[in-house]
Amino acid sequence: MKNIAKWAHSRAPLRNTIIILSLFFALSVGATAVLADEHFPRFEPDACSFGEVARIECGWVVVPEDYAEPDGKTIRLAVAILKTNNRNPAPDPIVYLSGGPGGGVVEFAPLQSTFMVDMLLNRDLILFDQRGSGLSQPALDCPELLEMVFQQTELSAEEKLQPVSECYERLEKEGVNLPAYNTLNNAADVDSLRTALGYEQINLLGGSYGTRLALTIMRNHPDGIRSVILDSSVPAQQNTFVSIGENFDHALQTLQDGCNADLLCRAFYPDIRGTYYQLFDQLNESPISFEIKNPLTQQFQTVYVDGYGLADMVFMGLYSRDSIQRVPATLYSTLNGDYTILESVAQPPIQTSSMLSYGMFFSMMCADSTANISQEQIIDAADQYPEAIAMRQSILGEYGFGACALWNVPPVTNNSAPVISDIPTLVLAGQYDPITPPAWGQQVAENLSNSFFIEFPGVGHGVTNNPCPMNFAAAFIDDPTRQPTSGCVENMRSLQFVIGSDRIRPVALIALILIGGVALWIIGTGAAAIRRQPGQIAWRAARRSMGWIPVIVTGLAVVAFLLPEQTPGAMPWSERVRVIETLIPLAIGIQAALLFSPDDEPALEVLLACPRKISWVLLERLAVVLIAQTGIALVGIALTLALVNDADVSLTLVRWIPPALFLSGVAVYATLKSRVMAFGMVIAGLTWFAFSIFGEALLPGQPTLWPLNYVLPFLWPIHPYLQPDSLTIGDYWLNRAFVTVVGIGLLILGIYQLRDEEYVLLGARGIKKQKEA
Amino acid sequence: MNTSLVQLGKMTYYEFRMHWRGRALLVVMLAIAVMNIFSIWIFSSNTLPIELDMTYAAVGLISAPLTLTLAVLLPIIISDTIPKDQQYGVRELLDTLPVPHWVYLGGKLLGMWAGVLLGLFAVMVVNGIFYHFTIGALDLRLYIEMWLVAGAALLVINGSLGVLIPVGQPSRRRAVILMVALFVLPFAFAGQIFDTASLLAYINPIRPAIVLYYIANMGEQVSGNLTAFTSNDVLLTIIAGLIELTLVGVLAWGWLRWKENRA
Repeated sequence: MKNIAKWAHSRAPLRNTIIILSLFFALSVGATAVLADEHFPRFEPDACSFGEVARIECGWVVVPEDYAEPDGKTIRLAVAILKTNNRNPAPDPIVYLSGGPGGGVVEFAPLQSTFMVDMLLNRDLILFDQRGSGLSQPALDCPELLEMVFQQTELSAEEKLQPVSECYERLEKEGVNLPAYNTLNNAADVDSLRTALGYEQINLLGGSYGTRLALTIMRNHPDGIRSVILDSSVPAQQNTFVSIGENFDHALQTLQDGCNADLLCRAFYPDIRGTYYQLFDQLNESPISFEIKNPLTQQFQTVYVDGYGLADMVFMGLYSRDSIQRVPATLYSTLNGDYTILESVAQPPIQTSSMLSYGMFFSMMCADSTANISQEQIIDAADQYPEAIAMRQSILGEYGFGACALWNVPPVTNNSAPVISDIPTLVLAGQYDPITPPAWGQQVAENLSNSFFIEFPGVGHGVTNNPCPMNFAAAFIDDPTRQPTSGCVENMRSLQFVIGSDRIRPVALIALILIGGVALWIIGTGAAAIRRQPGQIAWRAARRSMGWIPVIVTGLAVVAFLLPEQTPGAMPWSERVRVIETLIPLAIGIQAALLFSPDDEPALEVLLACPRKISWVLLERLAVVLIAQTGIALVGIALTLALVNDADVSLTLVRWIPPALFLSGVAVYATLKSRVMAFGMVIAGLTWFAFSIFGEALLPGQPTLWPLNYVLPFLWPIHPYLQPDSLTIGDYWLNRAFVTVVGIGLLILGIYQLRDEEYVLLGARGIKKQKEA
Repeated sequence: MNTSLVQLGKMTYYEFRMHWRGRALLVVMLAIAVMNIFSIWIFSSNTLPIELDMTYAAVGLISAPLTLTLAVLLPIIISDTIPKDQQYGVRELLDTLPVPHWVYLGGKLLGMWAGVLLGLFAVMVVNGIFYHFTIGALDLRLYIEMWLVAGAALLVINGSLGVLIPVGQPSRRRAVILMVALFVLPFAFAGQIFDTASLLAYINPIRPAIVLYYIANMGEQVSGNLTAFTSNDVLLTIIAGLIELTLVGVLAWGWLRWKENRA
């Protein structure tokens, strides 16, 4: 040290100064490097919560909880970056703004990469969980509220709001600054995300609440926004609490108009609104209940549905194309006491609810929507639309406003004016949207000078869930200066409204009585004729001609399916016990095709010369086949009842008979008509294959193509492989009776081909040649 | 030798015409064509919720009716080809003529192959054109590959077994029943059908590797979970099938000779 000091002192003072300054500079850089790690916003890469997936990177964007206090507490927003496969990707990624508010998306990133593959063609896609939602920290979840949603029991208004209060108090105690969770800070987060990830420009894709967020970004943080897509827009100047009734009414009217445009829907469901009213009152007087699986606990839970629950289901049913088509059938069939469709429709709303962070939802909604309105204004608006009485109980109506009174966050007053911007924007709307109607999209587009508005027919809320609008969105992002066009919109025009089985039941009953009556009369006449001329029954000859191989094969197949022990990964019992109803009818059908074919029958002339009617031969052989295969069926049934504890005895005993008679009728008719057994066998085999594999496509509500949608509702009575849980039990037994009668009818028609011996010998072609000669 | 070849040609032509005179083959080809057209129509409706590689998906869906029909139905439909001659006494007539047994069997096989190939070609063209005009350009290489590998292989193996196995049956009905038994029993061992590493899968008359190869490719696109047969499995199945065919062919020829000598 002494030497250093002596050395420093001996040199020029300027050199000393330089050394000291250099040391100071080095220390400063070091200090800055350390301090730089603490700057906001910043991106911290991290492993994805769903594991390692190719082309997906995850991490956190750290931002201030309140931008008014930038040095205060920070929060972490979960981010997933889906990388495009394009080797020359565009430098401006798409940032997806989810709806709710409160819907998390990051944990579903692998699934989103499949659904939004169009968006990933040319640029990266960024998913992030908005503040307070999903995987972001903190997440403002309210498990107290979810329990109440699932229970749906009869609670008073105060009891329903109690969980809201509990959630609020808990979050406050945890130190969450709830007033900071508003759309203004949410919008600032998106700009922070852009900066933290190092992008000059981004494209926004917002859905539902995400559109309000996008509009706020366009107003407050327009720099760095290349283009915007608004799907199901929430204009800044609109208030969801006030307009919920009007929007629901508009959607119901649109549904009625859409139904009236469909021939069958108009005929079977002429008054959807009136039925809704009637059912609403009926369910409020006598609520119904059924079991569904709670997605949180995976346990079955009783769900209680009153008029308000119905209103929620109808409302949510108008969201997607598939469920819109079921709403009329749901209302009418529930009014008739058939809850099959209602039970299938009841599930989605409950599952949707479990995916929302309700704390974030209330913070955002209450801050956005409670400025300058009162509860009386909401009630007055709802009173103008009687259907909306039910929506008062909705979280978006009076109940929600009541919750905001407990969720003590100050309203945001400077985000309610219409957003005026020239950023290229594509505004998408769904025809049946019950919450953000197409008129709102037009309202938004009016103030965006560089915007295109497109309304998609036949869809509800969230149109980009459908391939056609998604194609539009992807095309727009590639070139935001042009309105995208595509012929796919035409394919979306016509909805295929589901016609419930309850509507077709009377038609099926009448047809059953007519066909069954005729069949019974013919059988009676034939039996009387046989009694008048008793003939000898040639059992041995019949047995010899049918052979024993098919019986052995069928028996082996049934035993082979039923006897092996149940091992993990093997076919479940519920499928294995169906071997009887699947294989035995097929065996009977194939053997029925081989019973008697004029072109293949050895010594046909001798048979025809005998004093017995030729139809006797066919009936004898058919009886042998039926008796033998019935024996196999009974063995199989005995095995089933012995091995499966909860098998329904009566159902197991008889469920194979209708398809057996049906296939035998088809086979006999085809063989006798074509005169060739191979042809009859092909027809029987194809019929079995088609119904057993594709039969579910015949059920009401299954997607099909025009014009088959006009025929489909009438086909369930003829489905030989209908399962008891596909429709109501009454419709199931009607189907069984119908299939049986049709099978017997076809048998009778087949035997009718044998009425004329000359026709049997020569066939139609031979008789024609003879006449010509 | 020249005479035999001429006889073979004539028999082939005759069998080809006889197969198309009957309605069963026509119905089967129409059924394949209609089922494929229906599947393509559904694809073109743009109702699928996710994006698929359309070529793999379409080829997979088209292959299902084709392979199942050729693997299961075709052998049953044509099983009466030789027993028909026995039933109508044509066999005895042929025995009096200088037609070698190999010409007889070869003519039956070649005639059947020609008949079915014509039908398959027509269906392939019709389906391909329909696909082009409803959905768009098809990957021709994959499409033709599917028809050659799945269609032609099953035609040669299962179709030929359908002709040769019932050679000893006295009537058409017995022949049909025998073939139904042979092709129904494998369904009873359903667990083995999807076992990609099993010898049983390779010699299974339904040829599951060939039937499921293209369907599984489509399944992977949709769910990512379906077990896929590899091209090695398909190759091994074809080899096993050809070996079976050779053995059955030799046995059939031997049986015909033995029967002739006995007579």
